[in-house]
Formats: sequence, C-alpha cells, structure tokens
Amino acid sequence: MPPKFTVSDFIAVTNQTLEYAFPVVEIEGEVASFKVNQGKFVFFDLKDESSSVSCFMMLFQLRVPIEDGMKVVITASPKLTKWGKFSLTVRAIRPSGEGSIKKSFELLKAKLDQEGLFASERKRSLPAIPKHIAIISSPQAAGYADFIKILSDRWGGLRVDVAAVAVQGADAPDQIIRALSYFNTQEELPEIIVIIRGGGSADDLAAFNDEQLVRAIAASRVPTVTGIGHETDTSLSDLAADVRAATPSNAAQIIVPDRRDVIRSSRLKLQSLAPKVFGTLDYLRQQLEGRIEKAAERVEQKFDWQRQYLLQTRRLLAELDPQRVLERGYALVRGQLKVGGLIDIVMAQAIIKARIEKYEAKHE
Amino acid sequence: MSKSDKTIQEKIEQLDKLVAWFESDDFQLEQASAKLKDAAKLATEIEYDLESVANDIQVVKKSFQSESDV
Repeated sequence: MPPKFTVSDFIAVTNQTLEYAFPVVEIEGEVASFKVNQGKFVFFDLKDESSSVSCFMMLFQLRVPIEDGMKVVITASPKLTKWGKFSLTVRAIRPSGEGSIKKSFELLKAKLDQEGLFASERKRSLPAIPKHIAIISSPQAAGYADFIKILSDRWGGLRVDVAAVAVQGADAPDQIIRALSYFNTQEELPEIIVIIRGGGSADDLAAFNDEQLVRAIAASRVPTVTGIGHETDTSLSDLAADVRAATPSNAAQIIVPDRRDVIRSSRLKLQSLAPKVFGTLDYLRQQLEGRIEKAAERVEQKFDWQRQYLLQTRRLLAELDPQRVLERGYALVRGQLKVGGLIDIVMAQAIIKARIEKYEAKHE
Repeated sequence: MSKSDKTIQEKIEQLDKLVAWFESDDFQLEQASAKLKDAAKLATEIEYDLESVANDIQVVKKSFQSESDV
C-alpha cells in the first residue's frame, strides 16, 4: 500500500527527505536567465550541456557580480516550493574557472572603480614608525610566518594584535570583515591594519575579491595595508587598501624601517656633529688670528708713522742747528756793538776776533 | 627599553632636533659640548633599544568565525 499524503504533507515530507539527503550541496554549472526582482530577490538557472535547475537567493548574499554565461559553483539547499516547483536555495555563489573568475573580477572592479573606491586621493599615508599595528591573517599560514619574521627582524617594541581568521574559502571574507570591524571599534585604535595571506591559486585568493570585503577595507578608519599572494597577484582588496604590498614580507618592509638602517643613520648623525663644532672652532680661530694680524699691522703702522715723524723732526732740528747755518757761509757776530767794541765773528771753521771801526744803525 | 620613558621614535625625533640645532642659527659654541653629549647619549639609547626590544605579539582571543561571536 503506497503512502497517502495531502499535497502539503507530500511537499513537507519531500523537503524533509531532501534536507536529510542533501542538507547542503555544491553544484557547478553555467548561469542562465539571471535576474534580480524588486531589488532583493535573485533568480537564475544553473545548467550544463543537458540539464537545468532553477535557483533562488537573496541579493545581499550575492558577493560577486554574476551574469549569464558565467561558470559558477553554488552552495545551496534543494527545496520543493509549495507550488511544486523544484528550486535550489543558494547560500553562496562564486565564479569558477579562469574565464568566469576574470570576468567577475573585471565587472566588480569597474563598478567599484566608478564609485571611487580605488581613487588615489583616498589613499592615506602610514606612520613612519608605528607603535601599534593589527594583523588580520591565519597564524598557521606561511605568509603570516614570513611577515612576522621580517617584522621582528627589522623592528622591535611594537604592539602587534593578531586576528586569526580564515584567509581562503567561503567564510574568509566575512571573518576578515568582522576582524576589520573589531579593530576599527577598539578604544585604542591600531595605527595600521595589515591583511596578510601568502600565495595561492586564483581560487584560493578569490576571497579577496569579495565585494563586501573590498568595501569594508575602503571604509576602514584605520589605514590598511594588504600583503596578499605574490607580486603578480592583484586583488580588489589590494586596490582598495591604502597601501598594497607585493607580498607579506614586503608588507613588513613597508610598515617598519630596518633597525640596522636607523642605527647607521643615528651614528652618521652623531658623527656629523663633531665636524660642525671643530669647523666653528677653526672659523673662530681664523677670525681671531685675522684680528690679531690686523692689530699688529696697525701697531706697525703707528710705529712707522712715529718713526717718520721723528725723522722729519730730526731733519728740521738739524736745519735749525746754528753750525749748519755757519756751514752755509753765514757768520755769527757777538760782542760789544759799538765803535771800538771788541767782537767775535764766529764762522764755520774759525772765530775771528775784531774791533768795530764804524757802526751805523740800519734805517728801514 | 632603556631607562628613558621615551619611545624610539621620540628619541629619533629628539636626535634630529639636536642635529638641526647644530645646523641652525641658534648654534652656540658654549652650548655645543652639552648638546653633543645629549646627542651621543640618545644615539646610544636608540641603538640599545633597537637591538634589545622585541615585538609584543598577541593573538586576539575573540573568534571571528560567525556573526554571533561579534
């Protein structure tokens, strides 16, 4: 005797059976008839060469741009609606295959770029030497170990808070968003939030192209640095971050200076001071020597002048010497200037004694 | 960390200020000796701090796995 149901019971039992057999399934296929109704509900068909199945999801669950023809992997639960229509209720959807991943990436990139999320004017500079940073990463990942190794090798005294999150897979974007929110609401804000993830396949790194994560990075109050994958990998998270490092190791190099460089620089600074002091001393010594030389020159000049003066005075005095006058042929007469008076006529070479025979006064 | 409460960055900034003083118009030979001693002390402290201080790395205890944890 086959079981007998009402229509509603049959649908309920079928759904129970489906839920038991396939609570959650992942299905890969190509998107067709993609549409969004009332700005909330997403409908599309997932198909392959021979079959097709209807899918439904809420718009807020759609984290990457999807369009017809894209190959995707959905995470969904099968369900029979009360109208008897079989449908997959989709929880998550992600592009699959190189072409679709690239297409989705380009669509979202163009959209966010148009909104200005990647604009260079939005980029903030990092503190030269931070004291407190936050890391969002998986502490088990090689990229995290590389970052910590380089960070610790280059600098010390940093407070480093680490949020342990998944860095690949469907849960990764939400965990990273929560960690970003956590660090952005702390009383003591870190000066930098750095998101770290080592290299991986395009699929591994797809979490960093999640629209909500990219928006959360762009909205972060705290400046962000991304060190995701290898140098050739550029995610949308990288474009939204304030600073994109090529690798996790490069992120550490960007965030802190190398202590060896700082020590070298301190020594050079110190060494540059002594020449300044000695230079000033030399300059002062030269100035002093210059002044002393000048003073000596002045004293010398004064002596010369005095010598000249003395010489001239001597010459003058010599000119006035009566003996010199006598030598020029003059004679000095002295004695009683009257007739019959005896006089001495003093000449240069002789003194003549004479008697005056005639004396006449001159009349002018 | 050396005895001073200043951070490494503050010490580097102070050293830069001292170096700038030597190059500025405020430079006076009478004060140079004391300033030179200060600079040498700072450079030694910076070197000591940089070589001896480790980073304090703490993993946040909070789980970021689900919305309910937030």
